[in-house]
Amino acid sequence: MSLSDIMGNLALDVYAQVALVLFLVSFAAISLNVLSRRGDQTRRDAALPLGDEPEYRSPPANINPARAGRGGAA
Amino acid sequence: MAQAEERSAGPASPGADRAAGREPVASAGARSLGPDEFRYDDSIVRMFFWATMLWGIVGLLVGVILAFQLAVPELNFLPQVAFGRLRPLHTNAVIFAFGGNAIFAAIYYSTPRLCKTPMASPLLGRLHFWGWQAVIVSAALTLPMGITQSKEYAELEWPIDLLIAVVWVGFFGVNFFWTLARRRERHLYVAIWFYIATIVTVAMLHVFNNLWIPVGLAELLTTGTMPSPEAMLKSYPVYAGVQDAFMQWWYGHNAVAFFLTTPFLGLMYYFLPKAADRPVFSYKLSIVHFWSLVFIYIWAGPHHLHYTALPQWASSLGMLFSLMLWMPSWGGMINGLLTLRGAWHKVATDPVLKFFVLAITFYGMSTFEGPMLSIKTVNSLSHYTDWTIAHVHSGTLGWNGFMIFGMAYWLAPRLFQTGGLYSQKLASLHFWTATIGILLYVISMYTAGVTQGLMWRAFDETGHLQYPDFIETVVQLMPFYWIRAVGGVLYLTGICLGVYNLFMTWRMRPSAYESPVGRAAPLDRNWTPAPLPASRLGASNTNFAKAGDQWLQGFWHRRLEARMARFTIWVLIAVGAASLFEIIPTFLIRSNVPTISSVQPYTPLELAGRDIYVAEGCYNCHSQMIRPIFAEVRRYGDYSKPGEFVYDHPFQWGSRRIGPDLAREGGRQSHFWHLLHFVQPAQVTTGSIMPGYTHLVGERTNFEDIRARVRAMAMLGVPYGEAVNDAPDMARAQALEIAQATIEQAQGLDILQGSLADHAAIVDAQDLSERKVIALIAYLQRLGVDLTRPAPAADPAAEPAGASAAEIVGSIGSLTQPGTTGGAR
Repeated sequence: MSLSDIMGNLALDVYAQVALVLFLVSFAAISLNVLSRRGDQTRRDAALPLGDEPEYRSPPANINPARAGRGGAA
Repeated sequence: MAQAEERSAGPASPGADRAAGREPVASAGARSLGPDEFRYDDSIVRMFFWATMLWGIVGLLVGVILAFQLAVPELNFLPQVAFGRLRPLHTNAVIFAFGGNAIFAAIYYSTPRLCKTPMASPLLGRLHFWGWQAVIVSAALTLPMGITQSKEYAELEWPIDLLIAVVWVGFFGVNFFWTLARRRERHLYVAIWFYIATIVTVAMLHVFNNLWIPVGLAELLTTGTMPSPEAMLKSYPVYAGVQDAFMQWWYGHNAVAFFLTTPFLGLMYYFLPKAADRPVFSYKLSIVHFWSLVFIYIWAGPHHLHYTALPQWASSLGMLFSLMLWMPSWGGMINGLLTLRGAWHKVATDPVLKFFVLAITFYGMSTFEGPMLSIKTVNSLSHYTDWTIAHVHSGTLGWNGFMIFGMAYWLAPRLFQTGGLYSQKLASLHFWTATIGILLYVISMYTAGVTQGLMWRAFDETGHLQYPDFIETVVQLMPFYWIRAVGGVLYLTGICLGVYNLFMTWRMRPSAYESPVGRAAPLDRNWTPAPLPASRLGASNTNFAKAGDQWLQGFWHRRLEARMARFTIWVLIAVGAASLFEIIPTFLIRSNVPTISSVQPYTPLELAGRDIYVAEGCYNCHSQMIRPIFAEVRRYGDYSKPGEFVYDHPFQWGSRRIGPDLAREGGRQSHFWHLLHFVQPAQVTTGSIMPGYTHLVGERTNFEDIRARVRAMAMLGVPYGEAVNDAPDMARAQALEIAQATIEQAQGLDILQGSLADHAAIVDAQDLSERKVIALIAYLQRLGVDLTRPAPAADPAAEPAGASAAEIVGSIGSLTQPGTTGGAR
């Protein structure tokens, strides 16, 4: 008996329903776990992109004035 | 508020400081970095940034050319730039060159900053950059030459596939995860999760959709014979027919998901808060958004194959999960738009926010439309029409294109350390030009798609097809093709304005770039996650209830967010579930693909002709899949069965019908008709927009290479038997038979030569038989005829060795009789 025969006899057409149940259970579990978290626990994490700008150390003379254009700040 | 506006106005660079009247950070001069300091390498970001701009213009220019080729077929003046060969170049260029370089720029900029450490290896970064550009250049050289696997968005041939794997996993993936391992910020920000999902899943998709046998290499290794360069670059996928289609669209849909969606969502979660100067609206929602998107997306691929020979259960599964995608997609869209709460007044003046807002809006619209198109009844109308083209372009031009330029306008002053953009007015002009361009594009294509779909299925009062000639539906679309081309020109114009603006910004750069300095202490190597909190329930409760209460305190995911390896493993489990539940049954249940005894392997000549069909990109305009829909069966003939495609490596079902379906083309027309049609399609079918393929009449078939092609197919399990060694002779014999029949149908060589005009000089039948067009005609005449042919006599003893050469060649006997399959066109 080949692997194909074994798989063919397993009635895998229920996979669609099994997949759906799997998803719903996972979704509910993750949602409950995440949404029950206190708000102050995520405040710092959410602000990470706002505090990551590095420092520049060069003096202003580093800018080439001959190339300065007419643009305003973006 | 003033401070907030100042932050969004520019970087903390010397230029910005000077423009704002501030003193820049005191120069460190020659002072070395402190123990908690490090430098970011933005030069690699600048490299990917410019590559994005270059390939963006190239990819979109090719798209505009393609749009005009449909309106003016004469623009297909060279085989290398004909629609069928150019379209894969367009899709690959915009997805992997334009989009790819953009996401790499975003990742190389944001990952070091979020992890507070420079990228682990500058060398790997350079190898990644140049390796990826080598992939793109290889694509640009090979696709116009007709070197293709024909699998949409995975057309590149096997040597380039190997290069992609090395660059993606070996250079990019290693560098990325190595950086995460060296991070100085414990928490992995949500953008990083999306990058992880992208890297892991794209690697998995690429590997499993690109399992092939290289034709020439296999011949060289088994016989020692060196085949032609063309055969050396050729490969056949290990999958065939239904399974190949399933794998391809598992890959194809998830290329959209994990190349054009997840990395761009990471980009959104990083750059949008910075541009709006406020944190993401809900970090909790981003967690739910991430997991549900990653888990659901991977299942949705089969919705590309509704009403095909794919098993119904797989099709339904794809539809169900596609519908569920609404939820996470809109969760992400809402999270993005609400991040702008309190900052909407800035949208009117800040071009960066304008681009981001429109991009997220298009994301919402296209992720509403996608699930809608996956509903089978809607799909029966939209599939194979320009509706799909409209949907794809609202996503790519709107969501991806606008996100890329929103990011570019935000990045440019920081990367080039200019303190500002060259011109905000130009950026706004870019915004409006491109927006009008998109609208013209998608509205015309929606109209064209619905028109096409309705005309294909229209019946008159007598019960006959109202538009039996396919060309009637083509002619109807011409005005929309023109409007689409104008929309494309406008969008491209907008991009050119944008690139000019960015170039002028670059010209304002300082005489020497400075490496920005970050500061953060290394992480404690002895760190252990905080213990789980105790249950709040009393001793009288069960352990299960206590465990549930611990779960509800939300620490499980919080601990996961600090652990790179565990997080990656959970992502792998989420995307791997689809493999378990979709792919394994599709491959292992025999009843999914009932065999048909009369279906035989292609003859060696037909196989060579099939490879020409693939090389010319015919699948870009013609499907080979008749759906079990009454109007289709009336138009094309009996609907397609799974068992008809068991020898199709690769499958050629196509995804669009610019021309009619060819699944039952065999025997419908004479050989001579096909010859004339290839030379002058518009003269054979008035109004046809098909390019002429005169070069196929001039070029000659390499018969010796056919042996390598047949041998590779035999290695894949196609029962060729003795035909492997006899392949060249069998092909010559069949070609001569078809050439003689063609001259007879033309009523003489002189008339045939006259119809070819100056395109080729044919001396005699032998001369004609060596032309590539004869091999292609042999293939077309074979399409769909096996279904109605008697099954070969049962010969159990011969089965293991495969069909005999005589059986295979004998299968063409009836093909000189046109009109054996019915149906209108």
